[in-house]
Amino acid sequence: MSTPQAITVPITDQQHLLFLFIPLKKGRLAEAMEAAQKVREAAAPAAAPTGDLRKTTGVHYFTIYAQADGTPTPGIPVPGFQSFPGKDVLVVMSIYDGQFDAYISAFFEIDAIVQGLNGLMLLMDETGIPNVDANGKTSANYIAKMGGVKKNALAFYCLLMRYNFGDPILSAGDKNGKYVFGTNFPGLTVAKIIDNYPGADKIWPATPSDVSYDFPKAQKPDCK
Amino acid sequence: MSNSNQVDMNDVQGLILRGYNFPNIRYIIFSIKDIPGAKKFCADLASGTGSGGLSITSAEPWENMEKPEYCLNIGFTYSGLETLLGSDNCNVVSYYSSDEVFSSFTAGAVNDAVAIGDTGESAPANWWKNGGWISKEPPSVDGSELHIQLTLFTLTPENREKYYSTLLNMIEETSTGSAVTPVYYQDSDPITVDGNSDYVHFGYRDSLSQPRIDDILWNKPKMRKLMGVSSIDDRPKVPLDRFVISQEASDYNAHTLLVNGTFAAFRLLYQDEAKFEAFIHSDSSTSSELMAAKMCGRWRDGTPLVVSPDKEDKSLGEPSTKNFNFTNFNYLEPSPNQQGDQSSDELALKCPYAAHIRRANPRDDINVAGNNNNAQTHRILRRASPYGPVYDPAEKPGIQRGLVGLFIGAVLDFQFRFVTKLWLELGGFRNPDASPNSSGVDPLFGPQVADANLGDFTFSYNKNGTYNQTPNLTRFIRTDGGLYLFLPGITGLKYIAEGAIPPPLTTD
Repeated sequence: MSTPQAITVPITDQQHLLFLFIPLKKGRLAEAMEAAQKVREAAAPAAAPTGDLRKTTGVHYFTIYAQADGTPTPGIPVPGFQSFPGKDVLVVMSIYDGQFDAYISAFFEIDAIVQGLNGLMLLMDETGIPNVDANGKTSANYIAKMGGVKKNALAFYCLLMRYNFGDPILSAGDKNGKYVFGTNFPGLTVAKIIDNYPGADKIWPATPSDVSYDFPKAQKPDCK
Repeated sequence: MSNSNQVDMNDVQGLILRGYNFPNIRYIIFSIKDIPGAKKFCADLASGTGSGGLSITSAEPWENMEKPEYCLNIGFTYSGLETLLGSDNCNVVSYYSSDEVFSSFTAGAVNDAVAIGDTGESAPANWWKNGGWISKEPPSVDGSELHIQLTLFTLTPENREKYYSTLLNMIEETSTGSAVTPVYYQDSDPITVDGNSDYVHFGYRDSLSQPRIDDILWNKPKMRKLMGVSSIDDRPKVPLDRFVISQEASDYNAHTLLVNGTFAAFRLLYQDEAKFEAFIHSDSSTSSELMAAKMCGRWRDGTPLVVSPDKEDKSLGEPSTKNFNFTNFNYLEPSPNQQGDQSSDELALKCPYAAHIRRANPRDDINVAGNNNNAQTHRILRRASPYGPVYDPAEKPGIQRGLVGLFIGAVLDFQFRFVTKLWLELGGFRNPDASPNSSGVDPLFGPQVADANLGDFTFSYNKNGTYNQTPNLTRFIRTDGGLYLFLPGITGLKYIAEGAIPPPLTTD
């Protein structure tokens, strides 16, 4: 057999997993989901920003889910996601391109997202969690008190990393990480999709409101 | 980012807001041996009333617009600040400052070495060992004895000696010796080529594109007219709070001690000109001058490649701080007064994405790593100058030469550290990028020895539609020393001299 071609995937082209379990004040789930929805809407601006923000955020997919304290994840017979006792939990999962800090900071370009994230700081509850200083320099309390996420970007990155099961060093397709994270397309970034997919500007325009999508429902397996 | 208020020029160190353009410079590093004596030294420098009378130069306009005989500026390492202020005060400053502003400064250049590419021969264990170290004690591994950095600018070599001597005489003697002792210094003198004294090693003309800072006296139309500066300066204005720390900045917090100060990376960068010359002559299909131009983004006389991709353009005139033909250009849309070639270089056919000046300041380029299409946010003021003799191919090996000085920005994480890490050293500078190695790393620095990406050891540029690839790109610059410094405002310096801090701006 011949030696396979070695292809280096530059850091900025690598795909990474974000998988957050954010502790929330009990009883604030609805507000958290409302804030998440606002952030989502703000990330799809009515007017196209300079260039295409999606190239800098590099988000392929994301999921946001809020779960009340002590309740199992519905629909499955095992506990699923778990909250820290006495707190609700916000679960955020995303596949993004490139460096963690570049990915997060790209969102700071939109004020409405910054406001949403600042609102999230007020909903978080880090008290009583072992090895977490609830008023330390990377705490939600500190960030909220000291002007919000944009003025404390590094602290915010560290706050997210504290609750991130995802590893920003392990990229999709890489080996020997703490989880198996596969991809069929190493190095295929959102920017490359936008730049190279025929008709991308019509199918996925920079201003999403230029199109609307219908989603006919796929079928679940018929399990008895 | 705040632009609204005119900064207090008397309170800001002069080198932040303008290049002095003094030819004979001495960069000195001091170690504190006696805290009260060091405080007195700082107090005397802040007030100018000590014996000898030297004082820190502020940004206040010079009398009759005439250069003084000397300028003097001061910076402190975290170790120096902690020695003078105490840990408790430093912790308060840290608490009320964003981590971006204070964390990397606190950690210091030694601890940041790997992140910014100071590895292998450039590792801190090798710093300060190639000339200039004057202390009897060898440099420590962690650099914790390096406390204060002073830069003395003079108009003649004689005055450099005279004012250095005056400076040393201002230091109090204690029973155990000087309160503050110089442990290292490096002189810088101009490199003159064809009668022009603004060259640096590797043979490039320098100081062509410093940031244009918004809302300062020097950029007011009336002052520019008085100074005979042309109004056709297309450089986008960089917000003042990128260089002078402000509590009104939108993206960082700063304790009051830091206000009107700034941060800087002090760098001692050895340049291996023999290796560089060998590389630019190594490709038979590319002339050495073209190779040097593609690597830098400018021809050696300063002509930008996007303005004149095929040759130097003497019609641009003589480079100077008053001739903006060398910096009025963009990569995508031509700037209003751009000379020469006006075509877009989005595909990097004229100036490679790999080129040093394109990476260090992408101007209007978009889709560069971490930029969010706002290069101004990351601009660095470079107050650095050459040291060592002009390269002679027949010289004996071991002659030290390079660039020494300060790379200034209010937030190291947004500026020096960002540009060095993300744009110069990391690779993957721009996306999309059709070059076979994604434009590798900055070619003037070259790949680090342990770089695992084989593509980084090649320099590629587009030549008539295909990529010319020159192998064996290597590290041409070796870091021989580094410090992260806080350059206080004059008020801040007075607080430091008292071992005290002002009250924080509270949000409670």
